[in-house]
Amino acid sequence: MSFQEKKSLVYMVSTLMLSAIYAYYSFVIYPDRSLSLDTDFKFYGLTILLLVPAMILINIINHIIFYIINKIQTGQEEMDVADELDKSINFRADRNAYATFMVCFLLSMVPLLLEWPVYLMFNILVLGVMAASLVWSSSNIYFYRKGLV
Amino acid sequence: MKKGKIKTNIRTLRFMNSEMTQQQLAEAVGVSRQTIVAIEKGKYSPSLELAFKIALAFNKPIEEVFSYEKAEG
Repeated sequence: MSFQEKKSLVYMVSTLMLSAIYAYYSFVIYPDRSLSLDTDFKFYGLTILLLVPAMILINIINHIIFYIINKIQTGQEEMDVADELDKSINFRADRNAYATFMVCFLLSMVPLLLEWPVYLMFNILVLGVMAASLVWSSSNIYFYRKGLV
Repeated sequence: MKKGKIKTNIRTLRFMNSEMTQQQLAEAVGVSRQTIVAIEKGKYSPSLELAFKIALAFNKPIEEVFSYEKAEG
């Protein structure tokens, strides 16, 4: 497995970790949320604002651990510079992730239309972010393996 | 319409250039070793600029490094 594939795998692991943290936070710590709109909006506003720094932090920690393990295993320091192949692959991965998020965004409008609880909309949105992130990393791995011909 | 294929003989040229490694070639043209591996395996068609850089690294005209194979049919 190449360095870039391993890096995408680390990103995927970070996303899965964050999804687990979100599920724990949302469904275990605060399972009995009030159904009032005000409380739900406040809860999800705070949750989404906390998810962003948490994602950055988890990614940084995981990448530091990965670089250390990779250095010990291979004995060489990899240059983390994106060349034209990396950029082309990232471009395709971005496109796939964007499409995934858009599908989830449109799906998140269904609970609003059907007047279902607002937490369903937010959960679908958060799920959309996580799914897009997973699609991004798996697309990267797929294109590094398959190539771009 | 079927796509053609870009063929390369980088591997042969590396061998003829004092067995230059993929890493050395990658450093000479400013890309990662992974990219050279992908080009050699035919998994990636380089940009025109990179193709010229690779040809220059071997001091060869570009047509001696890369060739285009038309799709059949």
